[in-house]
Amino acid sequence: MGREMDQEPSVRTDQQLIEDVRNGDRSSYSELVKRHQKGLLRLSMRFMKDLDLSQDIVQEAFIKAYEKLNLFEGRSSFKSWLFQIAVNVARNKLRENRYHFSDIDDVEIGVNATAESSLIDHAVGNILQKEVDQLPFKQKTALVLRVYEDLSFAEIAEIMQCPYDTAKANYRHALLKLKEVFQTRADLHTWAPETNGMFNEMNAKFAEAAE
Amino acid sequence: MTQKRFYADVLLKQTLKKEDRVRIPTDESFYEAMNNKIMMAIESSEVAPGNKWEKPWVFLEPGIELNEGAGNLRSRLSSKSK
Repeated sequence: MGREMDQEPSVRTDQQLIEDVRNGDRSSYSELVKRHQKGLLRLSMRFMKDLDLSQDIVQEAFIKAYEKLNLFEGRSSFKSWLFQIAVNVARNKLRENRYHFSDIDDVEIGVNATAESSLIDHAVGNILQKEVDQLPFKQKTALVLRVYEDLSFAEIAEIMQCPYDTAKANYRHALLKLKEVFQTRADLHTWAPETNGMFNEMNAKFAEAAE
Repeated sequence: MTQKRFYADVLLKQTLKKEDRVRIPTDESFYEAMNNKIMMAIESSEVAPGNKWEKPWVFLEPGIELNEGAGNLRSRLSSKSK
């Protein structure tokens, strides 16, 4: 019994905290911010690529969520709802400012033997990142939420405010575009041995699947 | 063929995760400062009264993929029913 009472403050659900905030307890919102600010910052970084801009997105999303808290009906998780707001804020900021991110052509790739392996890894990561960044916003959003956030398509649909099938189609299109990169980029094939054969294996699987 | 395609998708996802370049601060004081900043902004805001005409579209279908994803619905539904 005593143990249950000790644990009670730590197991308050998001919904309970939201009810507290609706009843005038602003401090409960601080707990909601603590719970979700890291996830929201990580998501924002995927779109903005800049910590200061991402912090602005997080702050704006939390303020909008607070002001619109009565519209949250609890059909989806509070996290999904926050993500929905943050994605919309990020999309609007990108439209307003048309940020340009680092281009792969700007990245110097050296051939120093001792640093070659890490440079290859770095370059592969940059290529992938560039391709993800070049995806249309909806496809990128679906990919980010599915791959990095491990969300279901139902949750992705909720966040993107679109039907389930549309969310799934956006994700499939994003994957198809990235597959094309692996299939067509000759330089990725030559790097394959240094990256544990990952690309060769993937290309083989794609080829088999296409047969 | 479907299984091979699925495996290829999984490999692609693994590669994307492995090459993930997004890094966020790990310093807890950074998040405390962010929390304080947000709460200060909240001080001058109010929760707007609900407006029945302003309800968001709901596309979530509870019957689908209940067990999938980090914020899966089944655990939430079962915790609600307790």
